[in-house]
Amino acid sequence: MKESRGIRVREERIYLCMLAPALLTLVAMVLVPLCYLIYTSLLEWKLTDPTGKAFVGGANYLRMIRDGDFWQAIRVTAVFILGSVSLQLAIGLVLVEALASLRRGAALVRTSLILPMVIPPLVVGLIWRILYDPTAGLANYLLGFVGLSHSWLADYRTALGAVIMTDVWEWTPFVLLILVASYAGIPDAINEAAVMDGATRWERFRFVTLPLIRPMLMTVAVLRMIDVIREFAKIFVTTGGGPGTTTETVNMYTYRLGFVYGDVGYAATLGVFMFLAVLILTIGLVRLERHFAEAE
Amino acid sequence: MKPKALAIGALVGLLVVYFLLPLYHLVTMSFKTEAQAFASPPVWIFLPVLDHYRHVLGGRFPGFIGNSLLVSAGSVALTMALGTPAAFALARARFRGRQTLLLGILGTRMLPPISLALPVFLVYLRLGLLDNRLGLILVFLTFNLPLVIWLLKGFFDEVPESLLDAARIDGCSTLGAFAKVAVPYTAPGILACAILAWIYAWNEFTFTLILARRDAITATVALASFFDMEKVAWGSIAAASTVTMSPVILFSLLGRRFLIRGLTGGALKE
Repeated sequence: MKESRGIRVREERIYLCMLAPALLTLVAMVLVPLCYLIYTSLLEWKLTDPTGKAFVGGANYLRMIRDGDFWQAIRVTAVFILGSVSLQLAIGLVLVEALASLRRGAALVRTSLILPMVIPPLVVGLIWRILYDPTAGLANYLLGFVGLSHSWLADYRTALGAVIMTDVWEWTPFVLLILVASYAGIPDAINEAAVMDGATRWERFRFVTLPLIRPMLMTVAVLRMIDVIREFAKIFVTTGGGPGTTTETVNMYTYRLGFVYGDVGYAATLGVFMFLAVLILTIGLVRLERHFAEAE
Repeated sequence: MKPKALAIGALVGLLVVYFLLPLYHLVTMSFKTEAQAFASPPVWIFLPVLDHYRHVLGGRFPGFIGNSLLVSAGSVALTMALGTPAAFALARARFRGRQTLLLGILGTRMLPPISLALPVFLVYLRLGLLDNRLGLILVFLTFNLPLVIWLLKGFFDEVPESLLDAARIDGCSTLGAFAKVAVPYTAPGILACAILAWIYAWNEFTFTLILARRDAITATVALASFFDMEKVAWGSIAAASTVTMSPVILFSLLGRRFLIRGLTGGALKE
């Protein structure tokens, strides 16, 4: 249908009016607070200190670089990301074929996959705190059969691993659902051709399946990385960052600084750091998707 | 072929047990006596008792559930009112910078809650909006509005051009075509988006922990505070957790198909 220019311009104006309320809300609730966050990161500001705040420029950023606790938190976050994401992708890759070929019981499987993702993350943490309980926990009862009964969350050597396992339980379904759909998108003809050419199971996986689901695999990995950086409720309720600081991610450390110690200036600095980390990952994600879209 | 199918069946069965057993354990725990809950080996067959529910529902917990209901419903209503027209506009408009704007909105969804909660806390402190349900409703927009705009734009993209043109010929304005054609056409998607946004609001923890103190506390934050008591009341925790998660489970079972699409960020279009 042919439209005259005047109508088109008027229509664009109506669209802008429909967009405006949502955009203004996001500016007020997101952009303005972010600017205030950056401003706060330039202040020496402790809520417990009655003398108020003072402008200190980049001093908080220098403090961050020299702060041993910050680097410890970075290490914890890195281990959390590496452990959680690689385990989830590994489980996903091992099971994708079995799940995609499933005919009977597919509805039951999908339902059981969706539940860990939709219940409140805090309840996920609670469930695992109960399961890990050294006296009553089911985990220890089951692991007791193989002589592995242990106070998982209280031991500084196992606490981080135990918290990572709560994340694996909650989010492996997400990885599975995406990979299964991605796998189902591979035309049967390609696999059949590979079989005709005498490819073994492993070769089919390595040279047919893996390259085809790789875009989704990488997208999922980045999405999960971002989620781990934002992770809060499960750590809060299982270990609270402890024992010591063994499970304290950057996110938890920022919370402790800002809302337990009231050191909001320095906490804001860490908030800026996390914002930038997530921003870089998001831009990477978008680039990645564009790259794969062009390759298709 | 037979043994292979059997192996797959066993593997998948194990997977289902892995995901469902922890939930089953929590729910059954809420119906056990303290002695049964702590018995080793676990008690599998027992007479359910309602003591924990009586205890939890007789205390302050129903008030926190009420807060959760109010805050989540309020934030979803506001999110949908703002997000639906915005998503339609983004699907139809052709102005430059539209793609960048869309990515910016998506990026907002990824922000770490703490990075936003800190400045919002400082502003609320000054405005007297701390421990206020309206304050929570507003702040929940930061994660739900981008999500809803992003997902609904996908739905509005699927409205056939011809349908909207026909409405135009019949004398509808742009707004008329939106309200009378596009919204009814995508109604199931809009409803499903609202359910998803509601789940995120209901489950929210970080913002509420930081911005609510006493009166505005929601169910999830109240759950965490059960551990502050001297003796951890596992039965009560299990009962309160079951109460908190059951509406979410109910809604997800109803909207299972769409939720998979929504939870995976629209990456999967089924």
